[in-house]
Amino acid sequence: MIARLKAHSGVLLPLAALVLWGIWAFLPKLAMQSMQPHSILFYESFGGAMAVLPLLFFNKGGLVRDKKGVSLLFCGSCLSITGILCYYTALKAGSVATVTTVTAMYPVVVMALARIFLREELNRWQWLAAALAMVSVYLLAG
Amino acid sequence: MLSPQTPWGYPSMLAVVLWGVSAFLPKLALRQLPPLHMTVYSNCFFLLGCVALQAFYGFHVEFNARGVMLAGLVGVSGGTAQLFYNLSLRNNSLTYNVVIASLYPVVATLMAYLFLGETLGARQAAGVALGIVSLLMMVKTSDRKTEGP
Repeated sequence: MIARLKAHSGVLLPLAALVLWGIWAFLPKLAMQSMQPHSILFYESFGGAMAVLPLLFFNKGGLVRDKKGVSLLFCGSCLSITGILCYYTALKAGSVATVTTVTAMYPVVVMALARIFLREELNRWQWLAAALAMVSVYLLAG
Repeated sequence: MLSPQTPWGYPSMLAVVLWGVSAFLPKLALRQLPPLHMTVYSNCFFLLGCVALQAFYGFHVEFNARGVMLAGLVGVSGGTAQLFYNLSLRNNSLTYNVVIASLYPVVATLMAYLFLGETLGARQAAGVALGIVSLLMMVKTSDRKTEGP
């Protein structure tokens, strides 16, 4: 059973992440009925830490302290939080539909960076799938 | 449409670039750190960032039992999703992962339809259908040749 799961981990792991991110995107809708976004973000950060930190008990030897790796993640977190602030700023000035649609296109930037710096290649079906995914997000966000 | 002259143009474009780069960096960090450690570091940095954000709001944190429970669940689902994403990123290409991950609005829309009774217009229904087709195509045509050198 575990061997079969491991064999299919290349598909199962991103799908599990997809479903969980769907839940992550859905629940704030309910939470915002009783609290402001910045308060939700505060409790969300504790929830994330609660989910991840216990896993460290199963990991002997403590955290790997690689300066480059940790710096990259620190930069990523700073950029991500700045991105959220830019998003909120844009939301103040523009309509939710337009701003959400424009910002939902960020995977295009990721794909471009992956192609330029990591030289990742997609076959033609995967390019088509990526294009359909962007159209799908555009339709859902609009 | 999108123009820097509009008041939301610059912040929107900036958000696209910032989120794009922040989604790219973990693939580089994987060369130095295991996925679990990456997830722990990212969550700690996110926690610190959110505390700093509270300082900006004068530490006026609201408390509502239902809201706190739901917000906590948001964090649990986001943290676990990030862990699975990082684990997957170790063996799959960044592009493959990011395309699948970008489809989370499909799941959120379906959940809103099922649990909140929100109606799906023709546009949303087409978005969900295209998203599912895209997901199936991405997974079915994955031949593991998408890895970079």
